[in-house]
Amino acid sequence: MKRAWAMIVALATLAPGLAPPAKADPAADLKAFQGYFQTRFPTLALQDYVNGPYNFSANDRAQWKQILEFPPYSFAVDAGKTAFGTKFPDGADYASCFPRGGIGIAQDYPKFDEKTGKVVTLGIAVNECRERHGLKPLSLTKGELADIVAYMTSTSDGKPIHVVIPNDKRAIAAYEAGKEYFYSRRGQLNFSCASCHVQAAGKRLRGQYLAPALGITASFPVYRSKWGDVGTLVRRFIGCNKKVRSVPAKPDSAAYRDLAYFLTYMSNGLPIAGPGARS
Amino acid sequence: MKRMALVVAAAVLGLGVAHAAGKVDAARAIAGAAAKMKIAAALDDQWTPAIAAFKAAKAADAAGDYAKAEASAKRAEALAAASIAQARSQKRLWQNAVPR
Ligand code: HEC
Repeated sequence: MKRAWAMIVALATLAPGLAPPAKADPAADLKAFQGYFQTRFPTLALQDYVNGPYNFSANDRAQWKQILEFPPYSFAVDAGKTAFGTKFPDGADYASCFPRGGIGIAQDYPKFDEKTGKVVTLGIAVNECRERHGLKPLSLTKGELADIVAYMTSTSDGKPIHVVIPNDKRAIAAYEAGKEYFYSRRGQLNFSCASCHVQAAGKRLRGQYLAPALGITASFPVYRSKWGDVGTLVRRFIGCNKKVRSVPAKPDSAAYRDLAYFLTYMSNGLPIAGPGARS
Repeated sequence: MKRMALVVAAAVLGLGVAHAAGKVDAARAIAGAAAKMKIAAALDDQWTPAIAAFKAAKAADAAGDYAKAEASAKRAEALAAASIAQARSQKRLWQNAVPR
């Protein structure tokens, strides 16, 4: 345990580069990010990254494949489909709030909303739809909203992630803020997201293999045995923040919206593989 | 006998003064921790142990254990100060971890 942490601390201090900060260039970041992992793990194909921690242990992968024979998230997808199809009291429905009726669009999220100047995740878009039709927003971490997002994501299975950063100062600022959040150490244990999911990707920590940051968003929402239900990406952010003894941000905060924007953009081109199952 | 009463009275008075001072010190330490923690929160870098220490300080204060309240509040303040230093240094240092 102590040794695992010490190793990760040591790894994390080996920074990949020390070049001066450049002007914001998301496309160049993406190329460098994906290139970094492809050099680190030359035997993995790009689409393999969506399998996260299961790329690093044949044993874990075999167990996981077995679990997937009766996918534990299928209840959530069914419940989400029913909720998605249910009319609101005003007669409208979720489909009316989304392009293409909300089917096969998950790969385009998070999106930058030019009207509000904010990043909108698929979960937040579901809540905005509800509020527009006089309904209360749902929890962004689990329950009905996670089910609805799981259903919507299932209709995008295999579609390449396609997050767009428009040439708008506010969108670029949001992307940059997400990037800074991802690489900044925080919490009493002094780790950044990148310490574990970039520098220590593929290493073992407390019996779990650390998923590489590339492809890390592709399987969400996920059913986690540890949770006993389906949770969203934000739920995972909260868990990973707490792990390093850092107070998590609010589920709908700018910090988490921007983090999701940056992190999902880094996986552009990889296929949507959600909902997923994890231990 | 009279002397004895005087000594007892002085001791009680002394205790009272110490007690009042402890209360003031605890309140000061709690205010100091709260101020530092507000800065840490604004920097998006509050540590959970700071919150825990602060809660412990408030609980001890409410229970009249001012020495414990002061010690816990000072710990919360020190943790908040460390998180502020972390957040400020990361404003520069995060760039070093970006793959290029
Ligand atoms: C101390 C190491 C550590 C840090 C720091 C950390 N995580 Fe994690 N993270 C884990 C572990 C362990 C898991 C579970 C095993 C796995 O899937 O990687 C995990 C899982 C995840 C997953 C799910 C991966 C999957 O395929 O199921 C996501 C997404 C994630 N982390 C995002 C983040 C983000 C964003 C941050 C920064 C806010 C972060 N993590 C910080 C250790 C860490």
